[in-house]
Amino acid sequence: MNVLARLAAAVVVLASLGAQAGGPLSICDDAAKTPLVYANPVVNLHYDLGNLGLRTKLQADAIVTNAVALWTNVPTATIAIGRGPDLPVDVTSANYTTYLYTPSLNNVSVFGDGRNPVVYDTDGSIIDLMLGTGAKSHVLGFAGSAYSLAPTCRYAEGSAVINGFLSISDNTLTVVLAHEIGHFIGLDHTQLDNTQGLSQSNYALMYPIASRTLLSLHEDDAAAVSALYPDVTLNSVYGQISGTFVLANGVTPVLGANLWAKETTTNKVYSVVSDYLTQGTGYFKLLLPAGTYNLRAEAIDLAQQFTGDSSVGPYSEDASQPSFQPPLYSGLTPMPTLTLGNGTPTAFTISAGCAATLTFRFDGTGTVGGNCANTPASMVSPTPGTSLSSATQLFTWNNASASLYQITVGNSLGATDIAVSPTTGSTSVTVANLPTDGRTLYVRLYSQFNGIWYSRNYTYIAQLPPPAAITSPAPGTLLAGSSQLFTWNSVAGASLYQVAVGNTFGASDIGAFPATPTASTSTTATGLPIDGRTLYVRLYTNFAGVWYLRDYTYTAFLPTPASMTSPGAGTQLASATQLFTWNSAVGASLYQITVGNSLGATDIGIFPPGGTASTSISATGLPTDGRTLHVRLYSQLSGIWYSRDYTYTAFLPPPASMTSPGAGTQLASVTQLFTWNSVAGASLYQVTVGSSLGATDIGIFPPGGTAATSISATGLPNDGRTLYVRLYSQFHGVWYFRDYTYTAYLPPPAAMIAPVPSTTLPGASQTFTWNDVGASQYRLWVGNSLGANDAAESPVTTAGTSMLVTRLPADGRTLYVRLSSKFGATFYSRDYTYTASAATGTLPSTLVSPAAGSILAGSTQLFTWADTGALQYQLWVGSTFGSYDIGYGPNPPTTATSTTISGIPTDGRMLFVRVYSNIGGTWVPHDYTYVASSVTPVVATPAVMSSPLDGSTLSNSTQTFAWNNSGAAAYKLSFGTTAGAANLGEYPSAAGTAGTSIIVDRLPINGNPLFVRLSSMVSGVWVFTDYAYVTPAPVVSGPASLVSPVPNAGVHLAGASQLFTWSNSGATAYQVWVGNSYGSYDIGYFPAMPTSGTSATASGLPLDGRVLFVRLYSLVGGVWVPRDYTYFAAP
Amino acid sequence: MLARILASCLLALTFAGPAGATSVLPLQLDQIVDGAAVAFHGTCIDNRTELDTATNMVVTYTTFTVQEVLKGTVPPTYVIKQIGGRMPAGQMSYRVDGIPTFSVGADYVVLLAGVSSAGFSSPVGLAQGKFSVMTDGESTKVSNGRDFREMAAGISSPVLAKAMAKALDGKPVRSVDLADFKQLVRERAGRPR
Repeated sequence: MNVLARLAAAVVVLASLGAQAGGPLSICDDAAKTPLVYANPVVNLHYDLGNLGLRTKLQADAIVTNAVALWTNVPTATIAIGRGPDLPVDVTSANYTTYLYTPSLNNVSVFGDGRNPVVYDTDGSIIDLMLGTGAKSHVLGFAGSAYSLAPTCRYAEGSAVINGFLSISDNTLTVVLAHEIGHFIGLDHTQLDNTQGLSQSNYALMYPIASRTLLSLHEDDAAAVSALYPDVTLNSVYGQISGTFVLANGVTPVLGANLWAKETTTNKVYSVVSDYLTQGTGYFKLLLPAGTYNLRAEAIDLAQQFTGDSSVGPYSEDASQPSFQPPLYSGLTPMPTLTLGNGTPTAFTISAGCAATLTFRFDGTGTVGGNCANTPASMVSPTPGTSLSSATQLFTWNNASASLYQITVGNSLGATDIAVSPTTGSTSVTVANLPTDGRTLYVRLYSQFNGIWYSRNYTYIAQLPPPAAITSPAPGTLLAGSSQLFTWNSVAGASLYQVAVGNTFGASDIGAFPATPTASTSTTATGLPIDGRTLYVRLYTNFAGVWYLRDYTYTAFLPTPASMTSPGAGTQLASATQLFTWNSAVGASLYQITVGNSLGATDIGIFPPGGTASTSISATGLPTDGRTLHVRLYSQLSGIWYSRDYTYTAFLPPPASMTSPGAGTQLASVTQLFTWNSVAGASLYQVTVGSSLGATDIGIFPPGGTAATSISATGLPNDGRTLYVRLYSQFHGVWYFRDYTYTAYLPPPAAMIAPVPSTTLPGASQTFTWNDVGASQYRLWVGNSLGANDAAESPVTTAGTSMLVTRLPADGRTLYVRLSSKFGATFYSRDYTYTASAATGTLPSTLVSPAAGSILAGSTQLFTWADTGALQYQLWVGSTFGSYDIGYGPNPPTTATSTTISGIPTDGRMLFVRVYSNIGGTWVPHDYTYVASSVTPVVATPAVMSSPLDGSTLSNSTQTFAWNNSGAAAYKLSFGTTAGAANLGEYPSAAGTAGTSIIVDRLPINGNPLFVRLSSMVSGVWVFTDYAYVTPAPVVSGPASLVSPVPNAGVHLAGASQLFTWSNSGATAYQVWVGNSYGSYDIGYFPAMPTSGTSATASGLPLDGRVLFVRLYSLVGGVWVPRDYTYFAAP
Repeated sequence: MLARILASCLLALTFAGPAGATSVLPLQLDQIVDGAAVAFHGTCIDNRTELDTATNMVVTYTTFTVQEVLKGTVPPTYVIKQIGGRMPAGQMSYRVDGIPTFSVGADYVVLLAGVSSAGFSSPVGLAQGKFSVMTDGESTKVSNGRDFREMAAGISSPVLAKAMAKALDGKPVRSVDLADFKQLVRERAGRPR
């Protein structure tokens, strides 16, 4: 080992170094408290020759180079970490001492051979040797730096070891290495995180916890390395602010606070620790790019252990140091964030190269001084970017407290070729002789501070006269025709003009006038449309070769001929002479009317032939036949005839009107004379008769028409229907008509001849007769009320003139008889009343079979009886005289003479049978007795459950149920959760079984009652007996209970060792705690690792008879659930 | 086992290493205990940096008085050797970032890797194996700066459940009671008291 080669000359570091983040990693022991840096900012690394785990050497080299480049590429920092020759070997655990260990001379470590090894510990064995066995499983690598604080304060050299045993991504490894390289070159940690509003991926690279995922430096990292190794360009990028952080008394320094400045627009943040140079003054200094900032303070984070090897700043090595003491902490509670200015944060402006000074007190007050506030004035008027109003312009600006101001004006940025104002201490100046041609003017406003000129640049548009404007025709008006003269005002400075006309804004598709721009102030546009459209007109004015414009719109000329005002279009003319009138059309010089038989034709007339300037004309000689007349109204506009067309109906006399019979009346017979008035001009008449409007299905009279004014229509219907009659009149071969309606002739309905109405009928049968009125049908109803048909039997309708009605009541009641005659589809009626005959001794019916007094054959029996002519019959069967508790029929009563009764007892009893006959509305009984059939019955009773016992608890979900054979036809069991319910099913089925036991499975296991109904089919009916049982209790996982020793019973344990047993509650694990207080385990817990067994032996128990608190934990569903007990220790 | 696999996957996506140890993977509490050769509750009584005659390296010896052994065999006074340290004025010092340091007079629960053949032994996971003992009022707690809820996710224990139950839902648990923590270590180390 070349010990001497590691000695290197130390170089005094710059005394003006700034600070950033937590500050420099170490401070020299000199009076100036100089940060520890490499004296020579060019540091070369020497890469291992071997591979790095699964990475090749080339891949490993690239990762190291990328990490280093982040720091080397900061343009405002001089640190340059280069790459020297690779180490000559693959460094391993066998040779690492040669390349990593500190050389020594006389037991004093020495450095300085300029070798900064980067070792690829490909299998992690070097990590294990230097950090302890097993460290390679979690340590990614480490970096170290050799340094001396005195007498020459400097970094000598460094080394790094990277673990190849672990597999991590290139990105992660690069970020980790970059952080370590930051320490390597002397940077401390930074506390900038979500408190400052940063996302975790953008935490500073030098944050104590590796959070940053971006492969770049945070702005604070770049400022920090620039502060430690400042480049000559530093002041072109950064200004600085320095000051002290002190208590409210303004004197006592606050040491170890994290101070940060945030730019108010970009939110970029920069930090430093107060008194980072350990001067005991609370001093701090920040490098800040140009911008406006607020300043805040907070405590270093103790909760995240930003102490010791994770410390931020020089006062956080351990919890006893100032960063974690009052006023920054109260106990373990950090101070709230403090803002300079409190509720109104103080904003201070930083510009490149400036130096601000600041005092920040712990009550949020403070002062800002220094030279960073030299802000040049800003233009107030005219508004930058606007057009100037004349060649002489007053410029004004804000008072920037500068000693002098000046304005320059030029044709390019910074040029002064147009104007230079005198310097002034005022805040305004007037500049004359500015161009008036619309050019861009470059204006610069200078402000002088301490003899130095600062400036701001602006642009304006030079003043320009307005372009020409159209004076005629007035914009927005209607043009006179397809040709139009446009005129405009003359504008000084304008050289040419031109008018463009188009269909859209700015278009010239209709024309440009004149085709070659003119110096004149008018032009005639031709070929303009004459359809009333909107025309877009643009007048161009040329100033010095540049065209300016004004836009207008007009309405194209649109000819509008006159319109007919009377008679209304489409109406019928009143006679052969007609006055036509129209409105006056704008610009019309003559009008004319033509009348013809087709569109545009003049074959009927031209009025007047030479036209007229008037707005009306009387047309004569017009047809009077109702034809369509085509009328055209001409208007002459600018010598051109424009027209509008109309149609009218020529005058026509009215057709004839019916004079007799009166419209809407009923005709007197099937033959009817119709008469009408005579109409001038009519040549023929005709009458049609039909069943609907316009129909002729009934007749046309006469078929060839008649010149007479009457006609007799024959063969008309005689059914009273509505008749539609149309009277035609023929004019010039054309038929015109009028419509009428009448009611057809209707004969009276038939009348009753016999029996004489209102008399008493002789019996229950009666023939009714009536006169023949020619109806197609007759109908006879007999009822108990007017219009009813409920009192007798009859055929109802007949084409004849008589009808036999039977089963008439014979009780003297009033009978209502309706005789109807059908004409067409309608019945026409006459009503009559009669008195029914008195009762005539009709006998009640008698039973025919079975023979009275006989024994019936079974439970169903057909009974028949004689028809005695009664109105209705019904038969009753009962257990007692006159009762019908066994049955009755037919229901309702009918005229039938038999019925079958079922459900008759078969026990040999006496049966009472009654047959009822409805005689004249009175029910008359006739009674009989019979003997029921006799059959020996099967004696059966409901079964009784023999097993399981009623009220017992079932043993499991499968159960055999057994009962006695009670003689029933079938048995079944119903199961339910409530008494009598069968919601758990019927077994073996709803039909039951003849057996006396069944096995039922899948019964509930919930410890709840189970209701069982044992049903027996006795005499065709299910009769039952109910039972109740209790289902087995379920096995549920829960906390276990101690079984032994008997808990909570004052039991003294056996000795220093005691076996505890508990129930198996289904929990996954158990543990017993023994303590001197409730819930404690200070005496012990057993077994050490929770067990799934149900016992544990506790040992080391006291022997003094004290009260012991025992807790049995059960792991139920992933949760430890305790049960607590007490015992006495052994005496 | 599943918890560890998930933790490894997470590392591949976002690396959020523990405090001061940007070169160390985050470890679960059971990994820290399992990876420790010895664990104890003790007080740092001395730090001594010198050029180690055995390795010719700047090393720091830290001496603890042991209050309670939680794992392994530890004598009443225990000395560990770590690389780096600040030498007396006039001599070259050597700083290795991430190597835990201990303050004289402060209490710690320390879980140490096995001593290597070169005599070195640092806490498991570096700062992750160093739990500072802090007293705030009447309670005494330990912390290594990490979230216990995250760090102890793979451990099922009534003691842990009791410790976690005191934390507000969703908030990081930066510290736990010293007694509970030591009991957790004992449980994991299979060393019932």
